[in-house]
Amino acid sequence: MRLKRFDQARPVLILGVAVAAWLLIPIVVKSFFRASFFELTAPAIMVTSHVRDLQDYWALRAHSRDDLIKAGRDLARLNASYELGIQQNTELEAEIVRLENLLRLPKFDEYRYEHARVARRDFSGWWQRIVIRKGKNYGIVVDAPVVFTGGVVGRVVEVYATTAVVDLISSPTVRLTGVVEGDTRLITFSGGVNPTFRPPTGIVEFVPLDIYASSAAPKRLVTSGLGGVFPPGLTLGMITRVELGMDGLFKAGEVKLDERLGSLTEVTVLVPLNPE
Amino acid sequence: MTIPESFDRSGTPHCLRRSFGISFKPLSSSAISLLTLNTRLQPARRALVLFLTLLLLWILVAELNHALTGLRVYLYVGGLFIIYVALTQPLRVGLAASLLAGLICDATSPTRFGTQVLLFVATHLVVFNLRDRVPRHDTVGRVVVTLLANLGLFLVFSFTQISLSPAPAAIWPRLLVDLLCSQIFIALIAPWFFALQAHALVMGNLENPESSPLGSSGKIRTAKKRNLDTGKTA
Repeated sequence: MRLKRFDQARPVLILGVAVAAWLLIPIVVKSFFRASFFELTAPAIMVTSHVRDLQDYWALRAHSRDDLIKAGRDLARLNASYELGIQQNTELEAEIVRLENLLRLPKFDEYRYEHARVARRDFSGWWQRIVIRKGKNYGIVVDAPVVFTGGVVGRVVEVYATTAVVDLISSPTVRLTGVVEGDTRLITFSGGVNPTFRPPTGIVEFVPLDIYASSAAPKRLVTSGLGGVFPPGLTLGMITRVELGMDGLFKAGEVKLDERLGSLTEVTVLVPLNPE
Repeated sequence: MTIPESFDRSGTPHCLRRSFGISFKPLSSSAISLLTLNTRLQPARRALVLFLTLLLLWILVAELNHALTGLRVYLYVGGLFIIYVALTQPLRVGLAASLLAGLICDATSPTRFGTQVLLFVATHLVVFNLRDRVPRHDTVGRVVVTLLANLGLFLVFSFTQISLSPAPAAIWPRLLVDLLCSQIFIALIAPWFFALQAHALVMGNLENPESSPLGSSGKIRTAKKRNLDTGKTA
């Protein structure tokens, strides 16, 4: 009987040696491998995203002209209301600048808006992330907040050459502080369980005892601005349930997040003009 | 210098002679040395071809998960990355392919880098050591082994990630639904994927069609059926 080589005769021992060697490998080497293999898959992510866009384009081409005219007309009404909102926003910003100069108030962190297409959504039970089609080539930085029309999307956690990875607020790994709209007391928000076939949820903790919310009378949860990552006042979700916590000092509850988080196609990255 | 096995004495690849009746003149020593080098590089080429099929699987499953995000369903097919290479390939080739597949999965997920690599390699070694005791030439047997391996990988991976959840006990119903959907998905596409991998090796001139495991298992089934029809015993 032919003698086996050592690695064939002792495969578990070889596995143990491989694990030990992997643990001792410097973090630089691991980071290099991680970035390299992610960039290896980046072309596939971009190509499939563009193919989906092409698919949508040809699907729209199949619509009749009447359908397109009707859709254009409905969008025109929406655009008109948005343009009015933009004009009001411009006037309000000018008023804020005037008051800041008059009262010598500190300016808030300013951002530039980088609109990005979502290339891939990755929503498992363990994490919820999206990959966007802009990265270092557009000046995206780590920890930049990401928003959409319904409020906060999440935060940029990884940036590569042409793509960036965003952790969604529905991800169990995300924690941030918020306040109930109209209140100033801080509440801790974190991503929730995200059950199958149901909308995404989050969890709030350290809710003051005098705050009540139910599904019939929900309370809007917005960002507090603490830490300087997220601008204050951005919508996180609606608090639909609060109940007394185990310690009796605070309440805990559930937050219903926007259902559109599961079908995002366009997001906006708020890139800070002053990275510090 | 010896001519590699996939070539005849004149240096004609067997597949060309069989398919087209082509025959070459006897080769020079330099050509024979090139053929020998090609044979030495075969394990690396084999691992590369298998890795490309695994990369294709990763892309397809990622696209499917992208489409299912609205329903909050996630498909995990870790077992499918490993089983064919563990059951049919030499140890080094299969390990290399499993290792590269694990690196791809780790690079695109927020886990500690190396988690899925180690899980894939460990599963590969276990399956490799047990492969003589399972019906590895039969598609149904391979699918069953894939389902079991995927179940084990999913559970172990879940336990490594569960501590990150704010409500570890409440997340299990979601994970169980994902597992059920993943198992059903694997049961449906595993035969196709195994055939794809076998075909990729044949197209890369790394295996003969008759000697490939899928080809031989098809022939065995056909022979058995013929014997059953005529009433003869095997």
